[in-house]
Amino acid sequence: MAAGSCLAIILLLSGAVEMVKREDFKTCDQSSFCKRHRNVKETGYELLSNTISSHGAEYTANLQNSENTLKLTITGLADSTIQNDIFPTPSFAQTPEPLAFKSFDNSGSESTIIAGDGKIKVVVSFKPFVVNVFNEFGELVSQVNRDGKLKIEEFRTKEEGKEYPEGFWEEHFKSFKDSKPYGSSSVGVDISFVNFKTAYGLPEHADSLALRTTVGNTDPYRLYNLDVFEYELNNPMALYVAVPYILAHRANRSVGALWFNAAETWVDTQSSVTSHNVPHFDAHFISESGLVDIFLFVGPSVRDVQRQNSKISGVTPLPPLFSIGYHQCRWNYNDEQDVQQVNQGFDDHDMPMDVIWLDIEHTDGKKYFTWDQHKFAHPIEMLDKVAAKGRKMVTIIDPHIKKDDGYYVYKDAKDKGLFVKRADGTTDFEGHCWPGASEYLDFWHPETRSYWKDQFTFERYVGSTKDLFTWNDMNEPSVFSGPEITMDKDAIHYGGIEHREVHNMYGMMYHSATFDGLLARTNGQDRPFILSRSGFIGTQRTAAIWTGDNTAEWGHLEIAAPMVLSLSIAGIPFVGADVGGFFGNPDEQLLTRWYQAGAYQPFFRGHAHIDTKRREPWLLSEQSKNIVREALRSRYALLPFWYTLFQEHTSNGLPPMRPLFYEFPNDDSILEEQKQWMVGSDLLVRAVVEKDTYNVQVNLPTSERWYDWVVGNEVKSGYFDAPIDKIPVFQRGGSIIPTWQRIRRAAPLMKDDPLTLFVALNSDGNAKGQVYLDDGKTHDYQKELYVRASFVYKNEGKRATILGEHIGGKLEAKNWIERIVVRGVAESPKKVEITRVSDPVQPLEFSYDRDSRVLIIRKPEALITTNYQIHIDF
Amino acid sequence: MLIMLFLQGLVIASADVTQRELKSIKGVPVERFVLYQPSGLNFKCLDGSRTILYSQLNDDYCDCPDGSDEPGTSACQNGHFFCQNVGHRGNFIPSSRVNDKLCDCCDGSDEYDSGISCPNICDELGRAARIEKERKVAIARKGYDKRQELAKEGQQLRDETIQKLEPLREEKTALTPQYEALEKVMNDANALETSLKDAFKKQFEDAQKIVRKDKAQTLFNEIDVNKDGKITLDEITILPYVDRNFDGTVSEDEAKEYLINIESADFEYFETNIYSLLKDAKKNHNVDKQLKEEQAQADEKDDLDADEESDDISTSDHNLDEDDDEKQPPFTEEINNAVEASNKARNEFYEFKRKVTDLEQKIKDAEELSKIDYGEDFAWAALNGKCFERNVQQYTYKFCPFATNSQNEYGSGGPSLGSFNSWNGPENSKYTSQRYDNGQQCWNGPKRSTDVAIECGEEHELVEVTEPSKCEYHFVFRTPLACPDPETIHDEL
Repeated sequence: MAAGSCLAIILLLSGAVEMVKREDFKTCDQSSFCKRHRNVKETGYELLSNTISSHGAEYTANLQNSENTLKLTITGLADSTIQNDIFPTPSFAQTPEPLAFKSFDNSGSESTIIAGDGKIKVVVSFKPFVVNVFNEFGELVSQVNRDGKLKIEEFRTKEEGKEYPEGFWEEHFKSFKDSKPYGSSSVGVDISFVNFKTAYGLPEHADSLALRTTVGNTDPYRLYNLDVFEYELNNPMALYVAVPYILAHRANRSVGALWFNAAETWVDTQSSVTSHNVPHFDAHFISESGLVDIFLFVGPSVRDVQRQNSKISGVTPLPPLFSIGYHQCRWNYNDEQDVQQVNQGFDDHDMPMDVIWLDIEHTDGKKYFTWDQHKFAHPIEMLDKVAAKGRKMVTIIDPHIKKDDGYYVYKDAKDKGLFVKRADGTTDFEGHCWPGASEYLDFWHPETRSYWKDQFTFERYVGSTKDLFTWNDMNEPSVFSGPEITMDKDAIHYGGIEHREVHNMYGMMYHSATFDGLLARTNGQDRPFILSRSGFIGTQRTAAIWTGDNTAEWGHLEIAAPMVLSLSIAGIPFVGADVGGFFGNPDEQLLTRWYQAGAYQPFFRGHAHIDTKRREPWLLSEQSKNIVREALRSRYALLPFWYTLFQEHTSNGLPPMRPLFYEFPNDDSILEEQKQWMVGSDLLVRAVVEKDTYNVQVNLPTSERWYDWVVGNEVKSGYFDAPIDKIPVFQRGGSIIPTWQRIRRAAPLMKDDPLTLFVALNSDGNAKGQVYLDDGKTHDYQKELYVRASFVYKNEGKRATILGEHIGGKLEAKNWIERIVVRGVAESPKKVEITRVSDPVQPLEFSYDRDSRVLIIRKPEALITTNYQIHIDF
Repeated sequence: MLIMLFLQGLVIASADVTQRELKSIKGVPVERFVLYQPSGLNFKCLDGSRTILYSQLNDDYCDCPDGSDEPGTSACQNGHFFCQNVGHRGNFIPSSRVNDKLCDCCDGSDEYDSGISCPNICDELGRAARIEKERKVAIARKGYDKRQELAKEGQQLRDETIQKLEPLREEKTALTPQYEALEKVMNDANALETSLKDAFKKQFEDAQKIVRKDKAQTLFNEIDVNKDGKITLDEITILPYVDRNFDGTVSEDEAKEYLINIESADFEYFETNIYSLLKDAKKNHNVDKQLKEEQAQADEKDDLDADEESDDISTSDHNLDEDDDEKQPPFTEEINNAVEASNKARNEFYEFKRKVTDLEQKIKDAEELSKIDYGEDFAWAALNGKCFERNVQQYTYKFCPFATNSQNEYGSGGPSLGSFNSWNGPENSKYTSQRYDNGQQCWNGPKRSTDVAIECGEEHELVEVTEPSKCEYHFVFRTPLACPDPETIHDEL
C-alpha cells in the first residue's frame, strides 16, 4: 500500500485533557448533547505555535479557545494506526506502524507536513485552527474544523450554584433517568470533503445509498445501536449497526474518514457549493463521549480508500464455503421432526440449501446453550441427520442471560462477577428480554471473554457438534425494559467504563468472543461462522451481519440493496437482508423477486417471524417453486466466483457486492445508482424490486461491452424484459467467470466439481479471470493448501489463445475445466486445440451459435492445478 | 411420475430382445438398455434433438438437452441415475447426487468415483422393507376388516337415513290437505269475527255523534246569551272556566284563544272548532274547584289520608273524562260466539302447524346428514359425533370428525381449532386429508384451522399434533377407515 496515504488525527484534552414507535427513540432535540452541538457556531480554537513539536511520524501541538486547551496529535501511518487508550480490546486489525514524515515546515501561520511517501500534504492553519489535507495530485480533498465546530466538553465535577445547559448533568427521557455522574463529555467537529458532492457510508440506516443532506431537512444520521421494532424506511433513525465512516467520491477521486468513537453519535450532513462554486460535502460528527479520533484515507482511488480502511478496520476472513450458500431460517422450526422435514423438503424438491437455523424457541426457556427437552431431545442425532446431507445448522445464542439460579451460565457468571453493573458499579444490571428478567454479560471483562469462549467446547455446549454454528442476536444490546430498548448509559463495565462510552461496541465485543469460542472448539482448525445483528467498526473480522427485522413489503426489498452496499462500503462485506421479509406474509411475486435479488447478495438467508405463514419454497405454486429453484441454482452456480471474491477481499478489502461507481469510478452519472449493483468487477445485477414490473431500464456503462448472463448475447443500455422468472444480470466484457454447473444439495458437496468458464470478450477481443478454491472448511489454506488459477483469453487476430495457469497454492485440487463458453465471438472457429503440459496437441469439439455469437468449447478436461493453452483458429 | 410411465412402455419394448446381449449402461435400468445401444458410431438423444458420438455417452459431459446422454454421471443437471439396488427396490436419483460424496443408492453405486466407499446395504434394507411391508399389510388387513364393518354401519346409517327420509316426506305431503283446510277454517272464522265487530263498532259511533251534537247545542245555547245564533268574544269573556291562569278574571287574550281570527262563531263552527276546547276547559275548571274544596277539608286530616284522597281525585278525574263519551256496550252474543269460534280455529291450526314444522326439521336433518361426504363406502359416518383426544404437555387436543376441533389447556375448555370444511386430499386420494377452518381468531394471527392427515391404522387414534405455522394446526389421525384393501397393496410398499 502507498505509505502515508492514511493519517490519524487525535484530539485530547490537555492536562486532564412507527410502525416503528418513533416516540420510543430520541430525536436530536431530545438528546441534549446533539442539540447543543448541532447549533454550535464557531468555537474559535487556535493553535498555539509555541507548543508545536514534530518528530518521526508524529506532530503535536496545543489548541486553545476561551474555554479549553486541547492537545492535537497528527500521526502519519503506513498500513495502520496508533493504539488508543479507551478501547482495550480488538479495536484494530493489526498493530500499525507509524511512517515518519518526509518533511515538516513551520511558517508563521501554518505548519506543512509531507507524509513519508511524499504523497500526502497536510497543512495545519493556526488561526483559526483548520487541518487541510491534500492528495498526491496536490488537490485539497479534506478539511477538518473548516467551519470551526470543534467542541469538547471535558469530564468535570459539578459545581453547586453554577448554571449548566439543560441536560448537562442528569438527563431524562420518557420515564428513564440517566444519572450522568460525570456530566456531559461530548465531542464534535466538522469534516469537509472538498470538491465532492456525493458521499456514502454511516451504516446502518434504512435509507438511500448516497447520503442525503440532513442539515435543514431531517435529524442528523444517528449511530446508536438499537433494536428497532418494525423499522421505517427512508429516514436517518438509528438501527442495529454503527460504523461512523464516510466515503466521498467523485470522478476518479475518493477520500474516506473514519470517526473512531463507540459512544452515541450523530452526523449532520450537507452537500453544498462555496461562493466560488466549489462543491463540498460536510459532515458534522457529534459523539456523546470519547475523543476526537479521526482517520483520513486519502485514496486517491476508491479501491485505495477501501484498502486503506481495511488495514485499520480489518477484513472478513475467508468464510467457510457453506456460509455463502443458501440459509433456511424461521422463528421457529418447532422440533426435530420439523427440522428433518425441512431438510428432506429441499431434497424432495431438488433445491440446494446449506444451513437450517433454529431461533430462540429451540432452547429450554430461552436459556442459551440448552435445548427444549420435549422438542429437541436428541440434538446430536438431529444435527447428524442434517450433516449427513452435507449441511450445517445454526442455533441462536443471545447475550441476555436468564436470571435463574438453576441455569449454569447465570450461576457461573454470577459467581464470577461477569455481568454488567448498575450505575453504582457494584450491583448487577438487570433488564427484561426474551427469558424475562435477565442479566447481561460484560464482554470487556477478560474473564467473561475466556468464560464465554469455553462455553462453545463440545463438552460444555451439550448437543453441539462441529456442524453447528452460531447466531448472535439482540446484541445492541436489546433490553426491553431499558431506555430506547437498550442498556442504561450509566451502567458500568469492567474497569469502571460507563456503558455510554462503549455502547456501539457491545455487539461486536459479544460476537468476537463467540468467534473465539468457535475457533477454539476445533483448536483453530475449522473456520467459524457467526451471524450478528449488531456491529461496529471491525465487526467484519468475526461476523456476518444481516439487516435485522425487515418487513415483507416491496419497499423493504428495494432498500435491502442500498443497506447492504452501505455496509459493504464501510468495511462489512458479508451482509444480507432476510429474504421474503421478517414481519408479515409476502405474496408469491414478492417472495420470488426477493429470492432472485438475494441470490446476488452476499449473505443469502430466508427468514420469517413466528406469526407468519410457512413459506418454505415448496409450499409455493408450481411456477413460483420452479422460479425459486432457479434462483437458488443461479447462486450455487456462481459459488466459485463468490468464493474467489471473498478470498480477494481478504487482501484488497473490496466487498464482493459493490456499488457501480466502484467499478466505473470516472462515471459521474452513476453516483446515486442503487437498484443496479456489481458482484465483483464482472457481474452487473438489476434486481426487480417493483411490484408487477416485467420490463426495466438498465444503464450499462458504455466503456465496456456487456452480455446477458443467461443467454450470452451482447446487449446495450436500454429496457430489458424481466419476466417473473428472470432478473436482468449482465457479464462485463473482458471478464472470465468461473462457475459450477452441477448444482448439488449443498455447497461443500460441489467443491471438487469441474468448472465451466464464462468468457466475455471486451472490445479488443480479450478477457481474463481467476478462481480460488480450497477445502472450503478449515484454515489449511494458511498452509498453502489452496489453489489459485488464472485464465486469460488473448485475441491474436485470426487466432485466439486461452491460457490456463496454476498461479498459487499447493492443494491437489480435483477441479477440471469441463466447458468454456466464450461470448462475443464474431465468427465460428475452424479449429480448437488444447496443449497440456507434455501432452500432444489434442483437438477439442466446439459449437458456435451465430445468433448469440457464443462459442462453447467442449470438455477441455484440464485440471486447474496445471498449465495449458487452448488455441482457437478462425 | 414421468419416469414410471416411461418404464412401463419400455418393458414392452424390450420384450423381444434378450437383455444379456445388450451392452450395460451405467445409471440405466436393465429394461432400458435397449435405448442406449449404438447405432453405428452414434447415440441419439432420447428426445431426438441431437445425435452425438457413442463415445460421448456417459463421458462426464452433458451433450443432450434432455440430459439423456449422461445417465451414469453428474454432468447433466436434468438427468437421472438409476440405482439397481439388487435385493431391494431400484430407484432413480437426480444426477446431481452421483459422486457427491453422499451414499444415496443402497448398493452404493452412485459413489463410484468420489473416493467415498458406500457399503451395499440393499439386503438389509430390502429385508427391513419387506418386514415393514408385511407389517403394513397386516395392519391394513386388520384395519380393512374393521373398515368394512364400519362401512356396513355407515351404510346402514345412510340407508336408514335415506329410508327415513322418504316416509317423512310422504307424511308431510299427506298432511298438506288437512293443513290447508285448517288454515282456511281459521281464516274464515277470523274474517267473520272481524266483520261483526266492525259493524257493531260503527253503529255505536254513529249514535255517539248524535249525542255529542246535542250536548254541543246545549252548551252553545247556554253561552249564546243574546240568542243571536252567534257566539262573540263578549259572551266568552264572561265564562268563568275560560280563566286559564286562575287569576279570577278572563282576559281578552284568554278569550281570544277560542275565536282565533274570527269575530264570532255560528253553531257549525262552534261544534267543529270550539266545543271540545270549551268542554275540556269547563271540565278542568270543575275539577280544580272540587280540588280546592276537598283541600280545605283535608287540612284537618293527616298526610296519609290526604294521599288517599288524591288517589280518589284521580279516579273521579277519570270518570269526568268519560262523561260525554259513553262506553261501548258489551258485544252481542252473536259476536261472542264468532270470537270463540275464531280462537278455536286458530289454536287448531297452529297445533297442526307445529307438527308439520317438526317433520320439516327432521327432513332437513336427514338431508344434511346424507349430504356429508362419508367416503366412498360411507364408513366415516360411523365417526360422526365422536371425538378423539391427544395430550401434548399441558394441552389436550380434540379431533371431532365432521364437527369442531379444539385445544383444551389443563382440562378446561379452550379455543376452537376450526370446523369441518371439506376433504382436501390430492385429486386421486381425496380421503387422505381433511380441512377444518374458521376457528377462534388468534391474537396477531389468523383464525385457527386444522389440516388432518388420515393414515391407515388398526384403531382410531390421534397420533400427532403440530402447529407448523402459528394457529395452523396439523393432526395425524390413524384409523381403519383409511386402510386400503390389502389385495390392492402391491409394490409401492
